Amino acid sequence: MNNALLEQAGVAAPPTTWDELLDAATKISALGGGIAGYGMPLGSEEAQAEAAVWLWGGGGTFGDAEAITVDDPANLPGADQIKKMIDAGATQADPGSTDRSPLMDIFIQGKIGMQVGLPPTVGQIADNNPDLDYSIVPIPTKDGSPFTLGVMDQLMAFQNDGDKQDAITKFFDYYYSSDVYVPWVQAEGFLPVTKSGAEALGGEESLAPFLEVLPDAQFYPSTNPKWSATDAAFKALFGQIQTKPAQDVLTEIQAQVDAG
Amino acid sequence: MSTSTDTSSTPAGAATGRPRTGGGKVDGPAARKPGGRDLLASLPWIGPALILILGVVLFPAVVMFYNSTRDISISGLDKGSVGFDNYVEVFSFPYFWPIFGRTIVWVVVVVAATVLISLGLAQILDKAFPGRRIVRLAVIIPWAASVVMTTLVVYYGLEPYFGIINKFLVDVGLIDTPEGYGWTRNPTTAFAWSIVVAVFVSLPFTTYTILAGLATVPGDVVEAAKMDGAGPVRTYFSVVLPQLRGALSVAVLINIINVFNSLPILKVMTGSIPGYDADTIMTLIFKSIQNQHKVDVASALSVVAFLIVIVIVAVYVRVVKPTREV
Repeated sequence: MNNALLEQAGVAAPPTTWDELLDAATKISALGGGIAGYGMPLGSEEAQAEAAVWLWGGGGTFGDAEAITVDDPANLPGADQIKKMIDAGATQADPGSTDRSPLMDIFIQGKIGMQVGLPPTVGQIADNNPDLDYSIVPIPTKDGSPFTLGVMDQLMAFQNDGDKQDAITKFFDYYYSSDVYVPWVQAEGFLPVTKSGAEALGGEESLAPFLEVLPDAQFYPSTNPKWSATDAAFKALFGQIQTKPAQDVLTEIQAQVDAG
Repeated sequence: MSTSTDTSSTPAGAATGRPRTGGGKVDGPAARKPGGRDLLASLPWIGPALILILGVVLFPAVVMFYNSTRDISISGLDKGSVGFDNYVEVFSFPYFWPIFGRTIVWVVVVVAATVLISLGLAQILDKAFPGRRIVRLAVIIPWAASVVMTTLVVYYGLEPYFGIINKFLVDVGLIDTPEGYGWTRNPTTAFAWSIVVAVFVSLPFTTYTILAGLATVPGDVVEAAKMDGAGPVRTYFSVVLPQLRGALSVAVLINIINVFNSLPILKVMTGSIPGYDADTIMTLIFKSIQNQHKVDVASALSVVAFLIVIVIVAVYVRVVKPTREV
C-alpha cells in the first residue's frame, strides 16, 4: 500500500472490506497522471493467485483434494467484484493481460496505490526504491474477515522400489537443519516452515506482518491430481474476465479442467 | 561393344564453343543406367547425410505422427492408442477455426509485406552509392540478431508506464493517457505489432535473395528496353521483374514456411494475453505443450499444421508456376 498516494487521495485508513477498497482505489485512480488505485495482475503469469485472492475472499473455493469446483456459485461474488473494480476504473488499464512481475515494478515506481505482495517484495522495494513510503496491511475481504493466500513450494517424490530411502532421509535432515535452511530462507525472503527456522527468524521485522496473517492462510488444492490442469486453465483463461461475463469464464475454466 | 557414331547429332559443340566430351563415341559401362551396385558403392559418401536426415528429420516426424494417435498423460506416459480422438479434439476446439484464419492472415500479410519492401530495398542496394557497403551490412543485422532479442526490445518499448515507444507517442501527443497505451495487452494491436516485427526480421534474407536475382539480370536487356523508349517504371515491371521470377520464388517459398512455423515473435508479444484471440496454430501447439502438458493433442495439431503448410506450398507452386522459365 503506497501511503503517499493514499494520503494524496484523501483516504484516511487502509481499507479492510471490498467496499472500502473500491472506494479508496477509485479515489486514487482519480488522481490521474497514469496512477492506478489497485494493481490487478490477471495476466497469464500468475492469474490463479489474483483469482484466489478475490474468489476466496468472497467465500468461494477452487475445490479440495477430491474435486475441483471452479464454477461453484460461491465463486461468483468474488468474480463479480473483480468486474466491478475493473469497470469502475479502480485498476490499471488492461488488467486481463497484465502480468504480476512488471506490475510490481510499477508499484515500486510509486504509480500504484495498492497491490497484493509477498515477503520477497520487501527486499525488492529496498533494492529498487528505498524511498518508497509504503506499508503492509492485511488483504481486504468481502466482510473484513482475515484472509491471506498461502503459497508454498513443495518437494515431491516418486515411489519406486524404496532403496534410496536412507539417502533421501539424510538429505532432508541436512537440508532442513538450521544452519543450512535459515540462510536460504532469509536470502529468498520466504517464511520458514521448520520450528528451528521459526525460532531463528522470529525477530525478523520485515516478516512480522506476514507471520501475523499466516494462521488465516488458505492454500491451493495442490494435492488434487487435476490441480496442474486447473492452474494452467486459470493462467490461460482467467484474464478474459475483463471483457467476458464472470460466470462464462468460470465455466470455461471448469470445462478445460474437466477435459484435461 | 556398341559404338554409336552419330557425330552429326552434336552440333552444339560447334555452335556455342562448349566442348562435348568424347565427341560422338559413347563408352559401354558409362551408358547403362545406375543400378543397385552403384547405390551400394556410393553409400559411404552419402551415408552421413542420410543418417542425419533420417535421425533428425524423419524419425521425429514419424514419432510425432505416432504420438498423435496415442493417449499420453501429463507426465509423458504413453497410455495406449486412441485412434483419431486427438484430431477430433483439435477440430472441435471452439477457437480452432478463428486461429486457423488468423494463421493464414499472418502468413499472407507478413510474406506479402516482406516481399514488397524487399523489392524496393534490393533496387536501392543495387545502385552504386557511397556507403553502399555499410548499408548492405546494416541490412544483415536483423537477420543476425536473435529474433527473441529483437522482439523483446520492441515488447519492452511498447510497455505502458516505461516503454520508450509509448513515451514517444505520449510526448508527440498521439496518445492521451499519460501512461501510454497497452499495445501488447490487446489481441489486435499485439498481433499487428507482431506482424511489424516479423516483416522486420524477414527483410534481410528476402532482400539479399532478390539482390542476387537482380545481379543476374543482364545489363543489355535493360539497355535494349531503354533504347526502345521504355520509361523506368515500364522497364521495371516488364523487363526486370519477370527475370526475378527464380529469386522471388525462392524467397517467397522459404518465407512462407518460416513465417508459418514462427513462434518466438508471437509468444513474446502476445504471451500475457488470456484466451486464444491472438494465437496462430504454432502458438497454440506451444501452449498445449507448455501450459497443459498435452503432448498427444499438440502432436495432432502439429500434423494438421504440417498438412496445411504442404497445401499452401502446393497451391503457390501451382498458381504462380515459379519454376517456369521466362
